[in-house]
Amino acid sequence: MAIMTIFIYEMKRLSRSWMTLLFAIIAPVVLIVLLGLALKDAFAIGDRELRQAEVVIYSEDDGIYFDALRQYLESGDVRPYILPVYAESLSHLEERLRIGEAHLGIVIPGDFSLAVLKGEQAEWTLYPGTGLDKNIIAQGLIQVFLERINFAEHKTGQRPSEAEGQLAARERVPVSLDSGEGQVRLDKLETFSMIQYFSVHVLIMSIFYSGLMLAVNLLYDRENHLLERLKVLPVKPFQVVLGKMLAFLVLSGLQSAIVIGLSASVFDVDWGDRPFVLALTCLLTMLIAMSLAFLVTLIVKSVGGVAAIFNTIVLISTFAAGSFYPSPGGWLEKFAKFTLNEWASSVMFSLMLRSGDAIVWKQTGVLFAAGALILLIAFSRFRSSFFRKE
Amino acid sequence: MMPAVTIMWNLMKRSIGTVRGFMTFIVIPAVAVSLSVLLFGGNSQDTIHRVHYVNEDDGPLGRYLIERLSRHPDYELFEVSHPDLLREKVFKLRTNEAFIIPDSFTEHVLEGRQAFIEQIYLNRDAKNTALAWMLNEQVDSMAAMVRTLTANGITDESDIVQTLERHWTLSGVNRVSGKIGDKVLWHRPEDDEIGEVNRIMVLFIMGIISQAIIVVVNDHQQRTIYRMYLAPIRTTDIVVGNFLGCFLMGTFQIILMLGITRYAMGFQYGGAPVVHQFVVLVLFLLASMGIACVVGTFFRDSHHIGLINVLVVLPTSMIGGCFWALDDMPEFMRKMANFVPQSWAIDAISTLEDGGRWTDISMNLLVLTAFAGVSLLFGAKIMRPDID
Repeated sequence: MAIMTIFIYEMKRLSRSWMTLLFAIIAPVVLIVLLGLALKDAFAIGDRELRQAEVVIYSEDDGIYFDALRQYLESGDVRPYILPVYAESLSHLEERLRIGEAHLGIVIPGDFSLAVLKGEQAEWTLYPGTGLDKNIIAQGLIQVFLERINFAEHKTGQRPSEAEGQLAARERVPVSLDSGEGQVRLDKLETFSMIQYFSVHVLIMSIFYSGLMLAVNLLYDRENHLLERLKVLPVKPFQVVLGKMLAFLVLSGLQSAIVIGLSASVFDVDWGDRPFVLALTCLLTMLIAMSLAFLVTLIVKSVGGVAAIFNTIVLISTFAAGSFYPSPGGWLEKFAKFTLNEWASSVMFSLMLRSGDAIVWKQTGVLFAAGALILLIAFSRFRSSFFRKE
Repeated sequence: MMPAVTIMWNLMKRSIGTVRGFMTFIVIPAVAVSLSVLLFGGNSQDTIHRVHYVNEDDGPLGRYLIERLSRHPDYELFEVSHPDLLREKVFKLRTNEAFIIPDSFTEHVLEGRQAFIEQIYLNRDAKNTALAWMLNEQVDSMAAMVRTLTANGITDESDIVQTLERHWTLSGVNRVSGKIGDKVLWHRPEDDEIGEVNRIMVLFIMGIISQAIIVVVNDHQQRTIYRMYLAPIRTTDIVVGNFLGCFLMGTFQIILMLGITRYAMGFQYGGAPVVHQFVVLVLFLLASMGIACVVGTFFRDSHHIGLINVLVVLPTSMIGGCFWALDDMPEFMRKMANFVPQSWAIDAISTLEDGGRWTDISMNLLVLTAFAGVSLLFGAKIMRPDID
């Protein structure tokens, strides 16, 4: 009952503070609208147009594999992507790369065809030039050709005529991705949009900040000796904290509902078809954010210090989880596994993608475990002396 | 001017003089920027394919495909346990190169039916296009092999698998390969990575300075600033002292960030000269201080100002191109970007990286100075005791 009294009192206070409402409600709305307007079209993830790359080739070999390469490069499927230029000399090849004209240089050694036919190791040397996309495209097609030689060679044994036949037989390469030919079926995640991506991260970040609001509120009440006075009443200190927490949970819940509702109605963000799980995820996220903020308040005494440390935690975990910059991967991705943003966003993305229940519940379970753990640590460190202003 | 120095000194002592203050204002931002150099400053954009996959195939061919691809020098493969998790990875922008080998893959290839690899992506780009070609080639080779074997009368499935296996052991070492030459004929500019480091640095400078203003706002709230006024000093001393304190803290932070990234870590910032970069950042620091002061005059309560990160720093940084390139934004947003200092600072530094010098960034410096001048003029009253 005492908790409820504190809760109701705190709600009244919150509803009277226009600053709180400003931060809690307007800030995330501004962020979403800003992101929505800024990025609705610009960040609609478009297919990259792939243009023809100039590949300059210098071959000291004029055997069957050089001929095969010429044929391959002339074939209708490869032609749109590669413009072959045959250099007369090595220096000519280097020159074209150096002046930034060619996108890839290939040097074929004199004994290449012979070595391949003998079953020995043979190597082309590739020199990447300007234009990363064109490098990748050109190298990709050249690698396909080399794979083909590897394959033909092993399959047919060493007889030249047969090897040639094999290569010729498979000259056609279905390289155009859109045609639906070939062995790869394309599954483009059409439901994705940048506003969808950012909505999730803005939601998590605003929940995170509601934790900071709780912390600031607690410190403020301590500064003003309000907490000390509350100790006179027949209320246990942890009940005061829980009552306040409850009030901020309600505020944060309201905030989340607005973010979700607005993004869904105005910007067509699809939050999936399991509203209960979504609500639960938000609730768990709030719980973690508030427990964490409470924990920081127990360690750091000043408002500025709490804000600085909490902001740093938010920034680092937001950054690690790739909220604003797509994560560069590597060890940062492993580190992200220790952040609230990563797990909360995982559940939300899973809901959007309509992933299986097993996966969603597992991710929610991680949030639950983390929340319980932090709450436990925070309350085990909590002493009633916290209420006294130092 | 001595009282001003004392006030300045005290402001600095109170904000960064403690271990905790030093950690939060100085060490953590420096570490964060250094980390961003480590993450983005390297040659992270390359031609290596980092591919995530799920292998649901119960036969050996799916495994062979993975093995073959992972031996390829251009490919790095990462296994994911469930297709839903793979889609989520793509959705989270962790990868744009992902594929699933379906459960009946081996069966289909052996029966001579079309066997599809499912490739998952957000948008088509050079890398996943090349990946699709490569996958297609691999499956095609398998299918062709099975056809040849069947044509030669080998129809027993285990025989076919055995022959394929032998083939793969044979070609385990790719005898024919393309190796990237040692000679570097073209230097690839790494614009994107440098951009990211600068944006993070600008973001942090703005964040730190807003924290420093909190101390001043706090002085108002605690009436410290009035008590200072009791001492035989002039208003200008207090204003100048507070101003210098914030300014020196920010400058120290910039020197530290530049020092660590440039001299300890050897990051070259695309050849931008250090003096030019320093001047741009210091002017940006002044502009940020001005903005923080203006905000401070509105939110007089220090327990609210702690949240200005959300309301001021974040939105202006978004518009200013701290989170994404300005070019990615629509026209009217780019115009709006002109009204925040972040865009001018980032633009100046990227001009420097493209080989620009003083004359090329003079406009940016002018605008930043104007920003600083105007906002400090309006905001400076937060540093004076005689308001309210």
